[in-house]
Formats: sequence, C-alpha cells, structure tokens
Amino acid sequence: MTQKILVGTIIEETSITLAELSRVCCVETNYLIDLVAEGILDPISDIQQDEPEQWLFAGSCIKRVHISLRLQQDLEVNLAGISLIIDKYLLPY
Amino acid sequence: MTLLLVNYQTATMEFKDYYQVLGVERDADQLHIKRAYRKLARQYHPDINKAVDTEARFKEVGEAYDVLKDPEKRAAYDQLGANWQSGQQFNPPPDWDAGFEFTARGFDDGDFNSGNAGAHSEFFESLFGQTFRNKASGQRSSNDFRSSRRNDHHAKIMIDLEDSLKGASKTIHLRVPKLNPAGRLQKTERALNIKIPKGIRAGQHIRLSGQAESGIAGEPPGDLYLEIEFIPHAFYRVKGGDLYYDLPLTPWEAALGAKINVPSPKGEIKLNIPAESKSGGQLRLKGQGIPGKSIGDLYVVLQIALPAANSEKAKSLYREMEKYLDFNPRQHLHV
Repeated sequence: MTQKILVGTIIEETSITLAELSRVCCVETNYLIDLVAEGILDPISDIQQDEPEQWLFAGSCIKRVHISLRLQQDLEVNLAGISLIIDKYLLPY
Repeated sequence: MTLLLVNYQTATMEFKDYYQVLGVERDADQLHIKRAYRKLARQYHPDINKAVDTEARFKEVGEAYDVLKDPEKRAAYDQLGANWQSGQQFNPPPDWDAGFEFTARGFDDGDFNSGNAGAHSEFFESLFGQTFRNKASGQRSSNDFRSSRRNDHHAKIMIDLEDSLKGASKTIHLRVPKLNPAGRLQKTERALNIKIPKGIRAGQHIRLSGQAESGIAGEPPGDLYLEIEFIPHAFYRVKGGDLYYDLPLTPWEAALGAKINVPSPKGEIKLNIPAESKSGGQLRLKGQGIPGKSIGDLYVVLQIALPAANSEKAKSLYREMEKYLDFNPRQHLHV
C-alpha cells in the first residue's frame, strides 16, 4: 500500500511564539515567563514593549526549556541555579 | 527503523532491587535515600555528564528514587518482599498491591519531560504504571490549556546520520498506548511515511500538524512532534552540525606529509597531511559537515599508528631510528 509521505517542519529552525513553545515543551506559559524573568530564555522580540503573547523565541530555546525542566525535576535545582549551570557549563548562547 | 515512544520499553522484565540501585539499606530513612539519590543523580545526570552510558544508569537511579521516596510506593514495593533477587524474571502477583490506599499526587502526564521519568522500565510500569494511575486518576483539574495540549504526541525517532546528510523518506512505526473498553492500557502500532529534512540535527524536533492520533473520540487530532536522535555511526562522531572522525596515519605520513584518500560525507576525497603532523592534531574541512542553514564542518583527528616490531627487519628499523634520531619525547617532563 502506498502511503502519503508526510512533510513536517523543523521547529528549531523557525521562530515560535510563547504559546507554541509551551505546547512543544508541554509546560505552562507561566513557567516560560519565569524562565524569561530569570534570563534563562531570551525572546528575540522586544520584551519591554511587547506583551508575553507577542514574544517570539528562536527554536533553539526548546533545548533550554527541556534542560531546565530536567535539572529542576531531577536535582531540584531552582531557577537561579539552572541559569548559572546553563550559562557556565552547558549552552552558551 | 526503530522508534522509541517515550514511555515504553520492551526489555524482558526483571526484578529490580531499588535499594541496591541506590546503594542503601532496606531500612534506610528518607534522608539517606534522598542523599544517595542526589549523589548518584549529579554523577549520572545526562545534561551534566556527557559520557554515553550515563543515561541508562541515571534512569535506573531516578526510577528507584521515584519508588523509595514515596512512602506509599515504597510500602507496596516492600510488600513484594526481599525474596526477589535483582535480575530475576518477574511477574507481579495479581494482588500485590491489595490493601493499599493510593493518593492522587505524583502522577502527572507531563512526566516525560523529566530525565528520570520518561522511560521507566517495564518492571516499574507493571507495578506503578496502570495500577497506580487508575487509582490516582480522576482528581486532576483540567482546563482548556491542558486539554488542548493533551492531544499532541511526542516521540523520539532514531535515524541514520546519512538520512540527515542526504535527506530521506522513512517509514516509522509508532507504538501508541490506548485504553481499551475495559480500561486497560494497550499498545497499538501504526506506520507513517515521513520525510527527513536534509540537515536535521540530533535533538531537533519535526512537527507534523494534525498527525497525533486522538485517544478520545470526537476530539480533533493534535500535532505529532518527533525528536531526532542519530544511531551511532561506525566512525563519525556528531557535535551539533560538525562531524569528527579519527584518521590513523603511519609515522612516515605524519612526519613527511602525504596526500591520502579519506572518507567524507560527500564521498572519498584526497586530503593533504602536512609534514610534522602531531597525534591529536585536527584538520578542519570547512562546510563538509551536516548541511543546513548553518552548515557544519568536518574535523579529521590525526592519530599516529605504530607499525608492530614483529619481524627482524622491523626491529632493526626501530633500532636504526634509535641510533640516528635525536629524539626525546619527555623533554617537557625534565627527564
């Protein structure tokens, strides 16, 4: 049986909204806003002027969210600690 | 092509001694259990420790802690008794958890984001998967946000590096857990033909809109997210978009320089080895790594191989080198 070939998009290569990021990562938008406040995530849009609903993120942020979740759940590191670990050791922007 | 749906494994089921995994006594208190877990978790956490084999160990440690930190699960687990040996073939007795009352906490579907949950063993699932979830269900609050995302599915797929280098069409088999009318969890399989975009990297996600099978009749299907992982390659190592491999050289090629044929993702190429090359030196071939928006490089890591001194001729050649070459590789050690 021949079946249609599905073509998807690589999320990491697009810019995504706060709502999309929360969907991809299965987290509440409030959690992402906390990550932005801590400096773990940097929206590519102007966070001073825009409302969170209008923020845009680089697709590479997905990895940062996943690492944050894992460090928090597995080692109970708080957001300040996560920010320190990610910036120092794991993922320089 | 293999596909790992995040929550299931198909290893034969063996009894796991969670106390042994954490290295604690059976009567250890919560403080010791937590301390043992934390030490091991920091040691094996895949985000912190990049060694290849830490992940399996980390999952085992996380699973053990998941049970032993929770008084209810621990008591139920202890009920199984110390008669079981780690590694023994295991089937849970039908009423193994009878007489226990379970609360609703601790079972969130969002679990699979965690490095320690996500891939609990079949042993764990058989004990705490369905039974606990059924008993614990029904109390979770749900709002629009949660229910809308529940229709999305996530899965990890393993592809060959070549699929990314050239782009490919692949048939993948997804195992989808579904509840049958009796409320028991069953795994059904479905096949999808998907296009692997050229240049995709490990850790990236492909979104297939509307391709998640809705578990609940009448609800619109969500999106299917496929996380990409590479099957380890015979000689390429992958770091982001860059590729590395070790290239053994003869001592004379390294010392005198040479033009030799080497592999590259685009096929065999002639590589110029400069004279006086050192072991561990890297030659970068720009733009010869994984293609894509930011194209990667290919790094050839030089390694000097020594011919064996397994014949009289070979031995005499080494003796001649000893005699004629003024060479002290230990000069920096001042000896």
